[in-house]
Amino acid sequence: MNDLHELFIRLDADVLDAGERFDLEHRLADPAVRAAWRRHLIDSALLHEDCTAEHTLAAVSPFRRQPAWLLPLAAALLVGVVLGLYLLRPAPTGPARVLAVRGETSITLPDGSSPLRSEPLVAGTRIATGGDAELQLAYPDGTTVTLAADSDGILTADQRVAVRLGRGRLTATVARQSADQPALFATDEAEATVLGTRFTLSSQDGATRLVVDEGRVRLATGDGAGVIVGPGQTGTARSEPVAILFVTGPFAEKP
Amino acid sequence: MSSDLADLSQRFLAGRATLLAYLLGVVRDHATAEDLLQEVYLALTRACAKGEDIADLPAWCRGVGRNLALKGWRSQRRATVVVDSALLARLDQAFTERDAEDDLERRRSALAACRERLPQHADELLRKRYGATQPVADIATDMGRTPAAVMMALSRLRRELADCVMRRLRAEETA
Repeated sequence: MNDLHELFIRLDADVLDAGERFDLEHRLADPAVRAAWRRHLIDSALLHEDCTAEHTLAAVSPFRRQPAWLLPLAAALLVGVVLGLYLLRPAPTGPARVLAVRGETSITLPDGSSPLRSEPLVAGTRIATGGDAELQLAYPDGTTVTLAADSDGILTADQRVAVRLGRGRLTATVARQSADQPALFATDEAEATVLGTRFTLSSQDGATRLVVDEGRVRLATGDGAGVIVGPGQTGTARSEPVAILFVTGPFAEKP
Repeated sequence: MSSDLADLSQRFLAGRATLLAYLLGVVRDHATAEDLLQEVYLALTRACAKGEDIADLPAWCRGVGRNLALKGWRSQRRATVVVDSALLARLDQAFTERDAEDDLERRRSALAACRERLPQHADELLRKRYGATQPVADIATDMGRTPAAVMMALSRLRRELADCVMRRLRAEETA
């Protein structure tokens, strides 16, 4: 009788012969064998996610080409810094991952490489879409960000939701965020601070428009002026030729 | 509407690895399974927008993923994996039955701890197969070994890891 793990590995590689397939099908009548198969597949998925995550960390590590004696010191410092940041952080979310892609899109990590599938996207990752394309990112807290066609942006953080939209339009459904660490969506003209809502942000011809479907978003310009944009309202920010910041729609509130 | 999508998205992400595991069982290819995972999420957003009632999210996602895989095979008029309905039925059964050892985050931690104890060459093999998702034949070429020898090494490695994870999880439960 074949070893169960050997059968699973051969099945994964699609090289089971007829006898082995018959043996496996017969043994899978046993709930314990089905549980072993399920766990084998779950471990394969976890290994895949963890190995690709390690690949990302290795790719962006500034220590990888340094002398070997630096590694223990660097690791100790890194652990200290990470631990300090971890202890001080107000319930951050994790890095975004690509959930769905349609059409011609590009994702470029800070080192210029393209991420592997399901790889966590680190701060500095550039995202762009062509005509008729769409790119959807998801964060572990359930926040989703959808970059519409002909748009580009950059992820400005990887332990919180933070996106800088360079051009085009994005729609986000933001899960409830910590008040100390709201989600940030910036353009050249303004920055939207979000605690949990659904909205669309666009940047075109020097103007930023923010349309809020649910919740409330603070839209602010670089000089500190800000307005609260509520459900059904549209916030507009323009820096040239004169700075403009206003809200239209029902029940406009003062900043 | 959107709060439902936020909630469903969060639950989808929490169960992502289990769904990926199921899809791997269906298509036996990491890249295809990842593509299917994305398609399932898109289907979820569409269903949510239509106000569809999704009572059992994991079962709904598995059903959509399986149907998409079958549809893909039919439309391509080729199957890299022969669709074996008996195995597919057993796979569905396996993922309907759950137990305590399936707690994803505990399992992920245990797996990481067990990997740390592996010799470097063994972990490198895991990275090639599950990180870079190299086919067994390519790994064999890289390592100057036969595919059969690579599969044997992987089998041994995965058995050791599975045993180690089980021991750790049980030790946690009794502690």
